[in-house]
Amino acid sequence: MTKAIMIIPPHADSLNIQYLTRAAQKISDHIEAVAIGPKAPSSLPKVIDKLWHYPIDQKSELSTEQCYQIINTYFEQGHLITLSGTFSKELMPFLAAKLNIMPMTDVIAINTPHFKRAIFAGNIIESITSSQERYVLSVRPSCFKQEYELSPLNAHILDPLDIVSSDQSLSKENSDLPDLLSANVVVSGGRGFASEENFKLLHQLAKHYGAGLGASRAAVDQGYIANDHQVGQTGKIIAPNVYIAFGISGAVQHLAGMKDSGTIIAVNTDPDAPIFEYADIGYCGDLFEVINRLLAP
Amino acid sequence: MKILVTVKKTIDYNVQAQIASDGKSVVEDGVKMGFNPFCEIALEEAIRIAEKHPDVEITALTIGGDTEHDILRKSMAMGAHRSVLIEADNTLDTLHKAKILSAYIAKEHYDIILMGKQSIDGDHNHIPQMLSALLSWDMGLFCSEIEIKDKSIFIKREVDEGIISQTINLPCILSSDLRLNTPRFIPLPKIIQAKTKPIEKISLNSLEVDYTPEIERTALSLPEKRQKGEMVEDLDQLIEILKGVLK
Ligand SMILES: Cc1cc2nc3c(=O)[nH]c(=O)nc-3n(C[C@H](O)[C@H](O)[C@H](O)COP(=O)(O)OP(=O)(O)OC[C@H]3O[C@@H](n4cnc5c(N)ncnc54)[C@H](O)[C@@H]3O)c2cc1C
Repeated sequence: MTKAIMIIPPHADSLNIQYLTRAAQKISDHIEAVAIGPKAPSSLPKVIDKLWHYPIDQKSELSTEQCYQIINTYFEQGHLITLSGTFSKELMPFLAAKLNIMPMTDVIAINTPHFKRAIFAGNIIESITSSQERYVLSVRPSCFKQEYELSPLNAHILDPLDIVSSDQSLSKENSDLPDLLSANVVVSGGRGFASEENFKLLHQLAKHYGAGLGASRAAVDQGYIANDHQVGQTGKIIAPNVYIAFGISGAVQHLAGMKDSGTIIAVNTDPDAPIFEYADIGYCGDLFEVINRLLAP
Repeated sequence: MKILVTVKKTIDYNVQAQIASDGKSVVEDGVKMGFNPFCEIALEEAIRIAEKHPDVEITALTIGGDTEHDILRKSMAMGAHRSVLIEADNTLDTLHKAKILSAYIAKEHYDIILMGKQSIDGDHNHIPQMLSALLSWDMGLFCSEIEIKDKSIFIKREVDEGIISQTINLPCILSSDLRLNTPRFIPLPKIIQAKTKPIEKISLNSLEVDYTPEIERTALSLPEKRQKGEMVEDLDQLIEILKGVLK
């Protein structure tokens, strides 16, 4: 049986790695993991046979080309599988084209050789069948939720290749909040906040309760918050246990990023806001009133 | 400098796509169609570059049939100098399309390929990356800022962890994110003028692309719809619920 090579993205957290493992198990009984980055996970689900690590120093970022070279040099065989997200969006189609394999990305269900993907901002599900010998795929972690018993695993270090690191510089606001991609509860805000100043209230709320902080495109476009908080078709696709939407209308492009959440709670002044069609609990009223109450001592 | 902008016609982003009776495609007849929003942003960016650098020539290209003439005409009305139609089925898979594009580009002399980062129908986000791999050109994905320097380009790109600033070399492939710009409105006289502009047609055979698809779409279906829940009327009750889940 062809083994599955799980590519662990540099910023993936333990839970998402477990979900990725679940997806990998659906394509093979033999799973190896490779981490490219400053650190390799110290423990992994027991079902993983081997862990490889290509160390890079803390500051450098590898380009897609470099990641491709590493994968291509050390993993000539095996299905390649990773998590959805910008890391895999860059790498997988590039890698796949080099290997002459059509990639399957953002996969939401696997029953080999059949796969499912969400298209049209999640309004339609596409079923596809692959006759490929080798798969190149990325999966949405929230569709493969399973937790595993972890056990320590020593990483086999891969010899450095003769590649120069690239001159990318990442600017990121230091965050005092849990990672949006793995937060249990996410509070999210839209244009309804009306200003950057007001949006800080949501940040406070997230911090106060240890929740992840999401935003609509409108909130990011207006400069209320940085792009890495955007949830939706073109932002992050998340499925926390609880998603609380304040002042978000519920455009399909936004829903695409959060409608698989466990419980959706929406606060909006407009009783006809489409978000209420998807909310388990809706409250028609002013978001500021609600947030101020939640922040009150 | 020559810029190639790839454009795709898609169902308007405000329209909910419907599954056709074959169970494998979506209904397009009588449905409002337009630019894939990301392609429109890519084209707008090329036009802005050309406005600053008068030696820039913009070519708009799409893959498809006669039904794609309108999107190329619209591209020229917006500001593309010429347009190219590669005559092929526009539902080919993304690797196939990337190979077609790469075969075409290899025969021409372009400096920059500007593309939308994804198409809002298939939501793949593949082809710019694939083209970079096939042509061995630098790529800059998910751009929210593009600034042409002499022989290089400064870009900012939106990734999951924040914003990456980077300088890349020509020739290169750039893919646009939503915040790159807001496309201009096309005035009617320009649309009328573009009606008579030529479209260069290229047959798929002439590009000699060797490719056998290995992935087949077997069906389209609708996702499970969430049940509409309850409306809470009382603020105190809402606060209690929220405090319960937030703690
Ligand atoms: C190609 C494409 C991709 C896109 N991708 C994304 C994406 O990834 N993510 C995304 O989010 N959007 C995306 N969009 C944009 C999307 O279509 C919507 O424009 C956007 O989601 C709207 O954001 P919003 O709900 O914050 O703003 P609006 O639609 O303006 O809604 C604001 C809401 O706030 C409510 N409100 C106002 N004041 C208050 C108050 N005091 N208290 C409570 N409620 C209040 C209003 O009733 C309204 O419902 C995309 C669009 C396109 C074309």
